[in-house]
Amino acid sequence: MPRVNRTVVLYLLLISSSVFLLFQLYYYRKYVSKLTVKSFLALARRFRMPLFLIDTAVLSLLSQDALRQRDRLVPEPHCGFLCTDRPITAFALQANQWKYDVALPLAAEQKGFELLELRGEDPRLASLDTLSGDDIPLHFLFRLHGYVIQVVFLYERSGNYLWHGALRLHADMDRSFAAFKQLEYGRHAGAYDRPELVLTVLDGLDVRIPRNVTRFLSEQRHARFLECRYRDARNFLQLYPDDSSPDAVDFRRKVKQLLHLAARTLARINVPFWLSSGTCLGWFRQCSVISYSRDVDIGIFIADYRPDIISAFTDAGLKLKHKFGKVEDSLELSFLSFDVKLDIFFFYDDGDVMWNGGTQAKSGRKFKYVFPPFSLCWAELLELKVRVPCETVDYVTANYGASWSVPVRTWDWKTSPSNVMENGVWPPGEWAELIQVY
Amino acid sequence: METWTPNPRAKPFIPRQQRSLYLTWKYKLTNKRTIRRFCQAAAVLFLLVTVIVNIKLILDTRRVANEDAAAQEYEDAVPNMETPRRQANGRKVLDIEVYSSRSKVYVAVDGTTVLEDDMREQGRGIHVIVLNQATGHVMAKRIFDTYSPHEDEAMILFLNMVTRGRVLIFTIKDEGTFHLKDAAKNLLKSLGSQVSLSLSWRDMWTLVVKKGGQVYGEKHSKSPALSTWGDPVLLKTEVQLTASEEAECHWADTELNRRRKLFCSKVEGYGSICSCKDPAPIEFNPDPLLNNNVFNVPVAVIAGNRPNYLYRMLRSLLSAHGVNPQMITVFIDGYYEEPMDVVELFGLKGVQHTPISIKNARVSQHYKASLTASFNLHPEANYAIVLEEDLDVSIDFFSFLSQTIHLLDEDDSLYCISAWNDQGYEHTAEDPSLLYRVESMPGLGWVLKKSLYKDELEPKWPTPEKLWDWDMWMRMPEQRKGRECIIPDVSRSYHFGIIGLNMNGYFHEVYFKKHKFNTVPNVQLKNVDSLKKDAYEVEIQRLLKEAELLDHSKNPCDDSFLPDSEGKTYVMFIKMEAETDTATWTELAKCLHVWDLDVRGNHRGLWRLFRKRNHVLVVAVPISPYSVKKPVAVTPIHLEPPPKEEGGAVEQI
Repeated sequence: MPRVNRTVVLYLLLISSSVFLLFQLYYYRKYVSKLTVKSFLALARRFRMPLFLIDTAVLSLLSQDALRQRDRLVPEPHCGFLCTDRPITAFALQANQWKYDVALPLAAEQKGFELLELRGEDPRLASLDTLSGDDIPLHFLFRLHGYVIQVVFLYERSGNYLWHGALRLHADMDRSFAAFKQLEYGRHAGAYDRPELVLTVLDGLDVRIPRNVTRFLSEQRHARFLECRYRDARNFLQLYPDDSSPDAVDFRRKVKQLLHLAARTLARINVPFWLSSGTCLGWFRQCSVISYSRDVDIGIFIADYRPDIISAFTDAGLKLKHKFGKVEDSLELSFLSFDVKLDIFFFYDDGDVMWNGGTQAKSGRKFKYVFPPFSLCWAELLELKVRVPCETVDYVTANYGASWSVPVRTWDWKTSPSNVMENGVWPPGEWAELIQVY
Repeated sequence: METWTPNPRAKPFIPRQQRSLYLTWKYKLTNKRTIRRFCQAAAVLFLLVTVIVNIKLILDTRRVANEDAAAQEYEDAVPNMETPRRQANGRKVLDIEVYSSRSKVYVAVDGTTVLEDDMREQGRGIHVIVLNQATGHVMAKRIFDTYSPHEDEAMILFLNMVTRGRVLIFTIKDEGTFHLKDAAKNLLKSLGSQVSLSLSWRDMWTLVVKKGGQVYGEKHSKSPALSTWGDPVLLKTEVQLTASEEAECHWADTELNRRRKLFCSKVEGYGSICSCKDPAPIEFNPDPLLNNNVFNVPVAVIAGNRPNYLYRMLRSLLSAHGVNPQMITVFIDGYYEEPMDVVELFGLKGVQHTPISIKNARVSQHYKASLTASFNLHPEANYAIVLEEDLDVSIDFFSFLSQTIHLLDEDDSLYCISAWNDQGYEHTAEDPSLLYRVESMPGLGWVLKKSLYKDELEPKWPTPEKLWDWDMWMRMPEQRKGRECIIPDVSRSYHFGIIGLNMNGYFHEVYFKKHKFNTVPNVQLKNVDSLKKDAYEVEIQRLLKEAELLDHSKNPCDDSFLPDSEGKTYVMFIKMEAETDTATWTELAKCLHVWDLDVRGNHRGLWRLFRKRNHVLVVAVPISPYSVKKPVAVTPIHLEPPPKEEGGAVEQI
């Protein structure tokens, strides 16, 4: 019998150890991410890198909903947050608070990290294309045991927002350094509001995270940023020099004030908007305001319509000039600030096209302006972070035709746009309701 | 696993069977033994791997833990970098051609022209080129117009600064001996020249020599007569390059010294910064300021191609108390290498600007681009400090600004804060803690408010085709709109540049050399809030009230015009019928030896300055509102300009 026992013991041992081994391998694979993060954070502390966690996989575990759900689950004791299945963790670095230390690559190497530094042009100087400074760091990738830590450099831009660049590999760089497809940051440049940060403890590690995680995550999904095409704008301005008469200077100043005011007002009631028509063309073509355009045009999706938009603007000191159409059809609002007009066009989604309406007050005729579907991106205009259609060329071309790059001073909103269509007439009985002029 | 037969060795339990069966069984058994062996080995391997993985896990965890504990120790440890090894490649030979003639000089190294000057009426004198003896790179290029006085002294200074071992190339264009004194000739002789002592009027001459080493070649052609030049000479020679180790110093391997090494391998003429034994520091660690209100204010240093000036400027800037090097950006007008090398030596940020337009419009466009970029790079900043490459800043420059910067926010009638007092000369400025309000915009180290720039100046900045001085434009009433600047009595900057767009040696000697410059650290400024618009009027009224009237019957240019007292306040009244009636003030400024080229540094027709340690108030009657303080009996002093205007008008800066 003892012989039997011994064999059985041996088998039991064998089976349990292989189970144990499998468990260990599984656990180790997950644990390595925590180890890597831990050793990276030690490195970051040594070089005083002002980091905060922006990894969406980890942050979504921390958002309010997830935390509520989590309470019901058994918490994993060691690595509940940092050990996700993805082989990447992303951190942001506040670039204006940090100075690159040449000792960093060596120190990283000593800790076993491989470091890939991606640099690029400084967009804050590119806006004046006569200036050239050193390339600035945009993304650092630290790799250890096949696990990658991405450090995204966030720069302060004028317009009171943070910017990160797109991650672009140079020809001589190792394309297999990381699973670049899986990176959450760097496919495009991005723009963020400056988040308020809190220090927290995740799996025993001190990390800073955005205080409002949910808000940050929703911001992250629509963070794509478009740089103005400064070089083209300069070429344009060489062909058609900017008007620098006192009137034009004064107009640009007023537009800037009005646009800042509109952005503040709509942000307060959480209504996203974008630059439309002439204002959008001004940004796209010359990175500024078309001085003879005389108004500011913005677009809002009808889905984002709120009845308190009007009161929000009038409270901010603007005067309602007219209101055309109704929420179901061709809604359009105009406000006046000093002598500059703010036109708000509401956009309707028909699936394959998006359109906004126009109304001629004296005749009740309706017009329809049709655009190919577009999504929204961030951009900078007059020291303000504003949205523009990501597919700007298509948008501008739809509106102004293929020759949008040639200034046209005489413009008739009913006939000049290349996407205008007649859309019938409002029934005269409803004019009082649908055509309000103040 | 189920197919596994348990306990194969358990003979006693095998049931007695027929022999054949037993044999079969046994046969099977032996077969299974290999399987068993194999499985056992596998099990052991499994166990071993498990153990290894576990150990690795434990070790990793422990290592991380250890590193955490050791992180503190790492904080300031300097990583021991290996010295970059250079390949001791075969020693190379440089072919050098040097040409000297009346109208043209050139120097070619290995077929590449590194100097060519055939412009008329330019580049007269001795051209000197310094080559790195290991790489053959040009490290410095200078012209010393030794036809003119004192230039030979500058040449001696320069040659003494050059590190031993460098290759020096000399060539004369046109004339280079008229003011070449014996001291310089002797120095050239000690460098190895055979003919330097006999160099004379309109001789042509070239020399290639290693400092403190061999002579590679020298050619000389005498001028046959006073009215003619010597024949052109062309010297062709070869220079053996040395190993790079011999050309470098062996400084301790730190980050600072790596920057130093790079710098010193590229350029020459910066004195002891490249000294092997005792190099001048490039990091200064000045004291921080308590409550520094300008720590996060960007500093824009506007520079051109005057790298030696920039070097001196940045040294003084980085030595000032409370400096924050992170906020400094040097804007270089043009793609010049050497100024960029200087910027990198100090580990600062440099931005190059493609020149637009010409002359003062070029400067003005450079200013605009630099200011715009400063606010772009630091969007959170509400001010920018603007400096130029030919200024020294005082040790308390930032302290001065930190104490005054809040005024820009609290007083809308202010245009700027400047570190410069146009009338603050050695003999007219006294009190480092005293501030004034003035109607002019002195510049030369000043603070610009972002809203002023963004809302007013930037949109209507002069366009490139307008040949305007940016500072003159800023002083125009359309821009200044009656606003004033705060200045100190004793300037916090010093203008040392003697070459420049609107500058020459004479002009500098007369108007800038004797400017007073504060050297006292941590000066506590007096009553800063009394500089605000209304408070300042109260202050002026108080001063006028306590001021003693000077004797208006005396000549104000006489020394006796002021009593030999100390620490008193006096008042005098001069005639000024209108804004344009500047005759009396200009004459007075001339005899006081202050700025007399235009009317500057006044506040509502009142100048404040010191004479013989007394505070003197000069009131312009009747245009100043303070004229009411003039006793009826007193006739304002009237001075006429001398009948004949001497010399041409000097350009304004």
